[in-house]
Amino acid sequence: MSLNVLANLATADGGGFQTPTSAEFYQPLWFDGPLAITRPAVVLMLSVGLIAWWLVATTKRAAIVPSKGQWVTEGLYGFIRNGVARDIIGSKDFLRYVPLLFSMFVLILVNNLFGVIPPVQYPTMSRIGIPIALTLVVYVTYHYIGIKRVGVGTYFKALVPPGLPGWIVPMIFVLEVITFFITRPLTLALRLFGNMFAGHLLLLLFITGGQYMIINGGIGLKIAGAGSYAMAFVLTIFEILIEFLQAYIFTLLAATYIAGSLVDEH
Amino acid sequence: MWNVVSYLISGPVLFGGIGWALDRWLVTEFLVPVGILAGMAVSLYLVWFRYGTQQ
Repeated sequence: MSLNVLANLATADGGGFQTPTSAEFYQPLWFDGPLAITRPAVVLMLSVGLIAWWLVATTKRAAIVPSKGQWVTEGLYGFIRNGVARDIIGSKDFLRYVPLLFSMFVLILVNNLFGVIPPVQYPTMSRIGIPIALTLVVYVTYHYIGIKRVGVGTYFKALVPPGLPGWIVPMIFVLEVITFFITRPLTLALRLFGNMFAGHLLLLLFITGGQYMIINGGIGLKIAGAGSYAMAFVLTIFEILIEFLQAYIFTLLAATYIAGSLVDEH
Repeated sequence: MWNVVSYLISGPVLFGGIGWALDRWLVTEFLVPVGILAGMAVSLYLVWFRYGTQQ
């Protein structure tokens, strides 16, 4: 509602302010159609290159007394290794999954932060295909671990917790299958996508709206435009927090699902 | 924590969907809300069973 009011205020002046839409996110750089090389694809490749360079550069000459870069890398690694993997999966077999979780966390974190870092300013995860790809990796991993450990039959049987009254078991079984095979991956991908998409759209609106009002508006709208920029600043800070949080939650949930496949009952 | 959310989404959606399909099949109109309520009940029961009785 308030967004419409803002847009109408701006258009009332005659110029026609275009509110940013989801179409803003599709930005092919070379070619067009399904094989287009888009801005998120370039950002993603850039992030992989940057991460690889950073990790190699900060750990090549690892010292007892760490340099600043090594300190950051070790801090992040320790956070995922101890704070996520060991705490969630348990100290017996968490080490195998640390590389997966750490790569995911760093990849998502850097790509999310690219949403507010100039000159990139594009959150890769706001294109749904990329969270889906990451979720597929987690999905295949946790089902593979579970099925390999106990076999297909037992895996499905273990979905239902023991000790339920018999008549309710079929209902619970269907519910568990839907939860494990559809709801979990769906929410995992959509949570990351939705947060990045909505956050970026909000920033776009406040910044382009503020710019429009300051350039084209009268004195009242110029003041409103300054307010819009102030909101953009506040929301950028908030967005950085969300970006950290979403990378953490994605990794945490991946670890939770893997841990669920490693214990006897899910 | 998030697993609970997954269950609470799955239940109403699944049983509401079954209710909707039954509505289409039997040409009735009341089974969608019944299904959603039943789904909520089953999810809540499952959450209680799984996470509420471990102490």
